[in-house]
Amino acid sequence: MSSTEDLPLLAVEGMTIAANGKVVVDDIGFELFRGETIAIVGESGSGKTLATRALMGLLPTGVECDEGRMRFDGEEYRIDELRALKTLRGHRLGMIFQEPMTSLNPALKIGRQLHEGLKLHTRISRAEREQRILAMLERVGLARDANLLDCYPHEFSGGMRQRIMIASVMLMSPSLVIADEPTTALDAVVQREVMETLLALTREQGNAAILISHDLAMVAHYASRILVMREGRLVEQGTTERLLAAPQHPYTRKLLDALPRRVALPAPEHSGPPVLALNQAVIEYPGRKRWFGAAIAKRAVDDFSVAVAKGETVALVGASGSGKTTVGKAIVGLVPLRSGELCFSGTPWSAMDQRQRRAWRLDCQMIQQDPFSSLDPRMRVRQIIDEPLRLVETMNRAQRQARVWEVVEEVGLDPAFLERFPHQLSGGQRQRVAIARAIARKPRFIVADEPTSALDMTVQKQILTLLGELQRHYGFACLLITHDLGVVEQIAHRVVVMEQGRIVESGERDEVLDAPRHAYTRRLLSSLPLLSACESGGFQLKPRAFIDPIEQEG
Amino acid sequence: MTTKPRFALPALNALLGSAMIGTLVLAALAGLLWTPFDPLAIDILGKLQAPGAQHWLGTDEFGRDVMSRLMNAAFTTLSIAVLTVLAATLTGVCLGILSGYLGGVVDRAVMMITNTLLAFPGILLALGLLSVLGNSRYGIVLALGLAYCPSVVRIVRSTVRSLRESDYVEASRVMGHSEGFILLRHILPNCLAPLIVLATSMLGWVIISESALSFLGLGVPPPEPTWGNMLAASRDNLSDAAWLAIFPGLCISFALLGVNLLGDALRDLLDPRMQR
Repeated sequence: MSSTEDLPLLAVEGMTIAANGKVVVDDIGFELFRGETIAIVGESGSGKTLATRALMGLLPTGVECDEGRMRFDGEEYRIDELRALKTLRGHRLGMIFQEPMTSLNPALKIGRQLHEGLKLHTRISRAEREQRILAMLERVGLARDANLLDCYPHEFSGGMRQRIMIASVMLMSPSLVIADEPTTALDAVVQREVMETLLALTREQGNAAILISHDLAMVAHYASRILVMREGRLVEQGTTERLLAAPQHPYTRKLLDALPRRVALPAPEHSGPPVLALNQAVIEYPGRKRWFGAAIAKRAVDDFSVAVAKGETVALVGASGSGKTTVGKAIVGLVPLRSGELCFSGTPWSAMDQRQRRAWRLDCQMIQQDPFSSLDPRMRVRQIIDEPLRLVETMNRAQRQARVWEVVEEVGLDPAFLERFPHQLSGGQRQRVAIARAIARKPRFIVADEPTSALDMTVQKQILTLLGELQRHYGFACLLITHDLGVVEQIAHRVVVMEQGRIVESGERDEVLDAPRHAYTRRLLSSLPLLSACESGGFQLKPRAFIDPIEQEG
Repeated sequence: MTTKPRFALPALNALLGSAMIGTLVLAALAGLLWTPFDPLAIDILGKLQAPGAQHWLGTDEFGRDVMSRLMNAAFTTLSIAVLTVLAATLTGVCLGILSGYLGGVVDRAVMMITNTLLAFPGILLALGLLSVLGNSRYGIVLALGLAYCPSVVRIVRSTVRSLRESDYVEASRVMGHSEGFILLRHILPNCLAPLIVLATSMLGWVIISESALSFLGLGVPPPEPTWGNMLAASRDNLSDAAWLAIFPGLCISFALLGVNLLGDALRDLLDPRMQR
């Protein structure tokens, strides 16, 4: 073994992958040493996922690795032969997939799924396997409880499922773990916890890890070296400090520029009543009906108040399940309020007549989270943007058409896109269409529900910039729902932090982000790396320094 | 992510399917106006002749020309099948949308009826209805339509239920559109794909069911030919006059293949996601 210690654990040379005759990964080579964590960063479509899938021998059919060799643990392999090689996969190479909701089989108890790998690759007894599994479950932050093994995946939250997935991979103690966007589907706080669990485990076992992500900031936190991929090519690689401080390739610089940074925003108009105010709102969901007795309602939001002025963006921050989306839905009228009052421009909802209410409904619009499901797949972009305009009685067909052209250009799309269908657009383009649809009627208030969480970092930046520009142009008030404080830094004037249906902290953005008072806000913030510009024109990664009252006291 | 570029398969399917259906429709229309022989003319001396120069597809146990009967039967068979499918689909879509979109009491009522109907063997249900309605052509349409309606209801209902919660329906609601608009504009078009598949395969089942009913003496009454009752009648002479079964059988298969090809092509052509 000692002779292999100084050699890299993994060395890839000249890997080229083609899909349908088109080169998607072009002549890539890199090395990875034992115990090292590196990251591959790039936009979606950059080939980062395919490159690592090839190492696992998991290329989808129709995608072929034409060339390339890899040396792993002292042995040479041809990458195109890996598909047939079962001894490497699982046992010595582990992979953690992006979507914990689909990477576990929903029909099998998790115990069975955890046993599976050990059964295949080891010869230990069932009792011994169970011991190891339980120890591993405890290690990844779940309880050491045999009852857990009898649960099905749907009984766990997304973060817990990803922990189970990590456990199932780490049980095999593979020499190399590949994690493909392992936390993209998770909340910021959970994301950090899961990442740390994963890396602590690899470190403990002395293994190496490759992280794949579009989020340079997140990856910079954990990896010692970073590889930047673009359109199938490796454009830059280097140690994390070097890459951040002195990026050489323009694309790396573009990625760095896309990182969330605080932007000074023009002050909103605080004259007159706020465009929208929600006072002491309570929202309940009907509970499941029992056989006997009445259904017990589940309180999703309790005693919630918020006010948004013209031209102002208020960010509503919280973990999933904290009720933030419910608040947004209540404001646009999708969910009824149990009690409390909704005021538009100072007029309470209860005091409006039917006509005024209708007018207000039309003045409230929403941008949804997932642009892949928020656009009707059977409608052309032109029809999608025209849809809200159909309800504007004062506009005739020609005027509507003119308005569609106008907004499409305002959101930065080529009018040629008007005749396309949603599936022909990229994620960022679709979100632009969704934004165009929301602003078409020139609303006074917009609810934006995680408008960028389904998008790449670089696209996220563009979309947020666009939203800011449109807000300055139209002056709408905006309630931005998000779990990502990076988004808040770029676009929000004020922040409201929610936990379990209640407001735990609120205030001006800078106040809340620089001197958070509540423990939850602090946890959220510590998962957001702070990049500061250094003299060389690059960046430096710093831990967030804020006064921590709890630590001061203790 | 597909393996190989798909060679405009929908277009090929559409071409083949519409050619086959076109041929059948032409034959059916021609059969109404002209047939080589009188489809009902009995010729006892020339019975059970094998296909030959005079009778291209042979004669049956009464000496009637099989080809003339097949041509004559085409219209009856196809019209019954199409009408039945239309009846089942239209009622099924209405009930399915009501039940899926409104939910609650309406949903429970519709589903109770549907499930009761589904629990019955379809053919038994049709039998019962026919003995009440009397075995006319429209009786068959009504009875089979009712028997096939539940599967449409179920499919439409489940599709509508998932579409009802979809983001774009929610977006439309936030825009302030009425439920009727949402139904017509978003829900109905997105139900189309499963409906076309169901309707085209249903067409085949209906032709078979009609022959089963004929076999039980409740289909279109003899001597009027349908493909189904010709197939049913061929059973007595199967060992020495196989052509009596083969040719109606071929007609049914031909029709089914054509309809299914056309259905698949339609589904693909109407789905913008299949276009590039």
